[in-house]
Amino acid sequence: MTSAISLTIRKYSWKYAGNLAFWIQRLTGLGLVFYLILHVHTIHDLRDPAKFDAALATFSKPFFKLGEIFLLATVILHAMNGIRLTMVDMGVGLTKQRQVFWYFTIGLGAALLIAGALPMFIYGILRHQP
Amino acid sequence: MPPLLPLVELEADILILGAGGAGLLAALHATTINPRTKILIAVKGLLGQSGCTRMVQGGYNCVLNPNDSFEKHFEDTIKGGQFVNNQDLAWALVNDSPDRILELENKCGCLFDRNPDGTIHQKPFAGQSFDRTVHKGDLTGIEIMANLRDWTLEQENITVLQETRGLDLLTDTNGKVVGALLLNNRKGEFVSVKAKATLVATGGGATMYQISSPSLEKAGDGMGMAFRVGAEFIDMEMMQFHPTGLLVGKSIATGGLLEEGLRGAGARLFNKDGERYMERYSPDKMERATRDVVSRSSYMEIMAGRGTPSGGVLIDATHMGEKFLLDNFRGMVDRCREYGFDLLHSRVEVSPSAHYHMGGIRIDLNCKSNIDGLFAAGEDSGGVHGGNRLGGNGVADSIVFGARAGDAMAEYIRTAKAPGDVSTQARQLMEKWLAPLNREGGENPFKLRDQLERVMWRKAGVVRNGKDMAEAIPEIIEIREKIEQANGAGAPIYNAPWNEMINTVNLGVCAELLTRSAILREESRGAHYRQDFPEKNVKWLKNITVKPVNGDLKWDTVPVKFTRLKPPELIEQEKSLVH
Amino acid sequence: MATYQIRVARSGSDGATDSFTVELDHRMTVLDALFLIQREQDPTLSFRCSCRVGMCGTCAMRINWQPRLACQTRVLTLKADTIVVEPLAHLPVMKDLVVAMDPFFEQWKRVKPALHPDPKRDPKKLAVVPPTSEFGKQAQGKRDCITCGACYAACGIVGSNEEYLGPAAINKAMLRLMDPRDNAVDERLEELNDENGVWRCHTQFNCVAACPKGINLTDSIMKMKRSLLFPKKFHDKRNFVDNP
Repeated sequence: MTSAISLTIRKYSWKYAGNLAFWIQRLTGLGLVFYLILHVHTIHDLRDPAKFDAALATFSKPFFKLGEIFLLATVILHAMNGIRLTMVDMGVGLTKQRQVFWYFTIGLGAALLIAGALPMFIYGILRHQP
Repeated sequence: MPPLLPLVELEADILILGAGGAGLLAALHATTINPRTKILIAVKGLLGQSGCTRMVQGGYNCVLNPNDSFEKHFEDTIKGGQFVNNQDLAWALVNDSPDRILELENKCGCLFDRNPDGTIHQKPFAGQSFDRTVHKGDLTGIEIMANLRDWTLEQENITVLQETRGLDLLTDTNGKVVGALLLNNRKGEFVSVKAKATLVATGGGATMYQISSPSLEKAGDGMGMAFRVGAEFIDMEMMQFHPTGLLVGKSIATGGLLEEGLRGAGARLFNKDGERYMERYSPDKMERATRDVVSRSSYMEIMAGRGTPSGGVLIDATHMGEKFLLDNFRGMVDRCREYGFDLLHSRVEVSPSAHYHMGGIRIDLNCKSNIDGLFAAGEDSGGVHGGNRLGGNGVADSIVFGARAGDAMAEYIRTAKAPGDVSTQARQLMEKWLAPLNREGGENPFKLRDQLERVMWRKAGVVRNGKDMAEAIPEIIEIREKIEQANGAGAPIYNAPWNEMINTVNLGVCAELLTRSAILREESRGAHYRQDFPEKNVKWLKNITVKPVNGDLKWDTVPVKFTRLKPPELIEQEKSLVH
Repeated sequence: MATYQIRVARSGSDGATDSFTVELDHRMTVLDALFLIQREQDPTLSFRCSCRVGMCGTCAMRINWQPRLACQTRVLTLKADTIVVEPLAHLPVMKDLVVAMDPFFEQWKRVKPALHPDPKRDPKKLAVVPPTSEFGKQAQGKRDCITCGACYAACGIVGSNEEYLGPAAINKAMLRLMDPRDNAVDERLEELNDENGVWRCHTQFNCVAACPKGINLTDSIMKMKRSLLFPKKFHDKRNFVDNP
C-alpha cells in the first residue's frame, strides 16, 4: 500500500515538497499579516457597544464563518509548516523532509483543520440562526 | 576576409600543459620549493574536472603496511610489466608513492577510505602480492582531483587558463623548448606563453581506439606536440586494454569502465554459453590475472564467436551479494543502473576497452626529455610500466612523476636563462592552425576520427598481426594527410569540428608511432600480443625507441638494464651457458 | 529505437531554441542525443563534456526544466517525446549550453576550500579517522561533490541573491571545518555567519532534489547553522585527538 502511494507521490510532486512548503509559508504569512492589520483596524473602530453588537451579528453570518474556516486553514498551514521548519533547523527528520511535509504539515494539518472546521461549519453555517 | 584571431602573449617561469594529477602535483611541488615561482597551467577542460586522474576508479598503489615492502611492490610492477620496464623509474614510483599519499592527505586534504579502527584501508587489486591499493570508494579520482583543484584555487602564484589547449611547443634556435602556443577555446584567442621550463602532462592517446575508456577530450596532445619538436619516444607499441569496459550499444558511454576492484573482489567473467572461460586461459589466477591476460582472453572468446550478440562477454558479481556490492562498489552499481543494467542481480555486458598508453616520451628520473626545457610526466611519458601497467599504478605514476617534474623544474629554472622573443614563431604556427577555421569545404574531422578509431581497433588492437598492421600503416598515413585538409569552419569559441581536427592530428601521430613500433616487436609481451609471434622471446628484453630526425623516423632498440631484478628466463639462460 | 524531438537553447538571439529529431535506443542519454546532433546535424552546437560517465560534473544542464547531468539522464526515463535542453540557470551563458562557472567558484573560494593544515600535526602520519567518528560520519557521502553546479542552478535563493554562498560551497566549508587536520576554523565560520552565508538558506531543498550525487546539502547547511548557534558544542566535537 505504502509503496503505491509513495510511488505516486514521488512521481508527481515529491521533488518540489521543499519548494512548495517555501511558497506556502510565504503566501500564508503574507495573508496572515494582511488579516492581522484588518483585524486590529476593525476592532479599533468598535468603541461604541451598539456598533460592537451589530458587528458581531454581521460576523456570525455564514459568509464570515466560511472566512473564519479559511483563516483557520491558513493559520494551521503556517503553524504546522513553521514547526516543520524548526525541526529542519534542529536537524530532526531532515533526511525524510518530504514525508515530514506531506504527512506532518499537510496530513496532520488537514486533520486539525477538519477537527476545528467541522463544529464551525455545523453550528455556524448549517444550523445558523439569523 | 577570414577571421584572424587575437594573439595574447604571456610569460611564466613554468608552463604546465594539462591539469590532471601530474600537472597539479608539479605545480604543488614547484610552489613548495619556491612560492614565488610564476606558474601557468593550461587545461583543456575545466580545472580539476577533466582528464583521466579525475576518472580514476580503483585507487593508488603504495606500500604503507609494515608487512608489505618496496621490494614486493617493485617485483609486482616489474613482473606485471614483463621485465621491459625501466627499473630505475619503476623503483622511483614504488619508493615515492607512500610519501605522496601523505602529501595528498595531510597537505591537500584528501581523505581515503579507512578501516573501522581509523587507519587507512588498502584493497586487493589484480596482479598484486599484497592488498596495497589506497582508495576512496570506487571513485577515487574525484577525491584526488577535487582537493588538488581546491589547493590550486588558493595559490596566488598560479594562473590557470581553463578550456585552453596546447597546439605546439615553441623552440629557440638551438631547439630548446621555450614555451608553447595555446588556443583559448573560451575566448577564441591564441595564447603564446614564454616559459623557462615546460611540462607536458596532457595524457595519452588511448582515445584513438573505437572502444576506449579515457575522458573524451584526451587526444595525446602532449605527445603530438613533443613529437613535432623532436622528442624521443619509448615503448609506443604498449597500449593497455582494460578488460571490463561497459558495452552500452551506440551510446557514447560505451568503453566507460567497471573498475578492476570488482574482479579483485571476485567477480567472474562468462562467455555467451555461460562458460567461465578464464579457466582455459589462466587457470590459477582466473579473473585476477593481470589486465593484459584478461583482456586478451575476452577478445579471443569474442573473436571465436563465443561473445554476446553485441560483441562482448559477461561479468557476474551477483554471488557477492547485494549488501557487499552496495557497500563497496556503490559507484559501479549506480553507473550500471544509469544505463539500465542491474549489476546486483544480473550479468552485465563488457568488452576490452583501450585504457592506458604505457609508452610515451622517454624521460629520465627527473622527467626530463631529450630536449632541453621540455619535461614530461604522467601518461605522456613512457618506461615506468613496461609491457603492462598494474591497476592502481597509473594514478601513482601521475602523482609521483608529476611531483618529480615539479621538483626538477624548480631546480632547472634557477639557472635557466629567460627565453628570447617567440612571437614570430608563434604567429607562423598560428597561421597553420587557423587554416581549418577559414576553410571552405574539406574533410569532415568527425568522420576521419571515426575512421582512425576503426582502423586502430581492427588492425592494431588487442590482438595484432604483422599483415594487418602493415595494411594499417597506409590507412593511417592517408588519414593523417586528409586531416590536415579538414574543415573546422565555425565560430572561434567552443568550435567542436576545429578541436576534433586538432585532436585527430595528434592522435594520428600516436597511432602511427604505435603501429610502426608494434610491427617491429616480433614477439608477444604484456599488452602487445602478436598472432604471428605468440610467444615471449628472450631476445626482446629490449625497448623500442623512436624519434623524428629531419622529417624521418629514427628507430632504435635499447636492451633493458636490469639494475635491480633479472627476469627468470635470463637467469636460466645464463645458468645453461655456464654449464 | 525511438524518435525524440530535442529542443536545444541556442545562444545568440534571446530565448531561441533549435529543434532536432534524433533516433535513440533505450540505453542512450541526453548527452548521446547532443553528440548525435553535433556530429550529424549541426556541428556548431556547443556543450561541455569530459568523462561521459558522471564523474567530471561538466555536462550539467537543465533538461526539461530540471538541472541534471546530461550523461546520467537516459531519455527513456524522462517519459517524454520532446526534450528541452537549456543551460544551467544563475550562471552566464558562454555559448549554447556552455555556462561560465565563475560565479559558482567565486563563492566556493570564499569559504577557503583548500585544506589549511594544522601545524601541530605530524605531517608524516596519516590521520586516524574511524568511520564512526563525527568527521567520519559526515565525510560519508558528502565528499562526493563533483562541483557540477546543479544545486547552484536549482537554488531559488541564489536566483534572487547572487551574493549567497550557495549549497555546494557551504557543504565544502562544513567538510573542512569538521576535518581534524584543518586549522582555518574561525575564518570559515566568519564567512558562513553572514547574511549571505548559511542564514540566507530558506530550506527549499531544491539543491537536494537536484544533486546528481544525492548529497543532502540542506543537512550540511543546517549543521552549520546549529554550530554557529552553539559554538561550544561544535568545538567540542572538533577537538578529538586523532594523532597523538
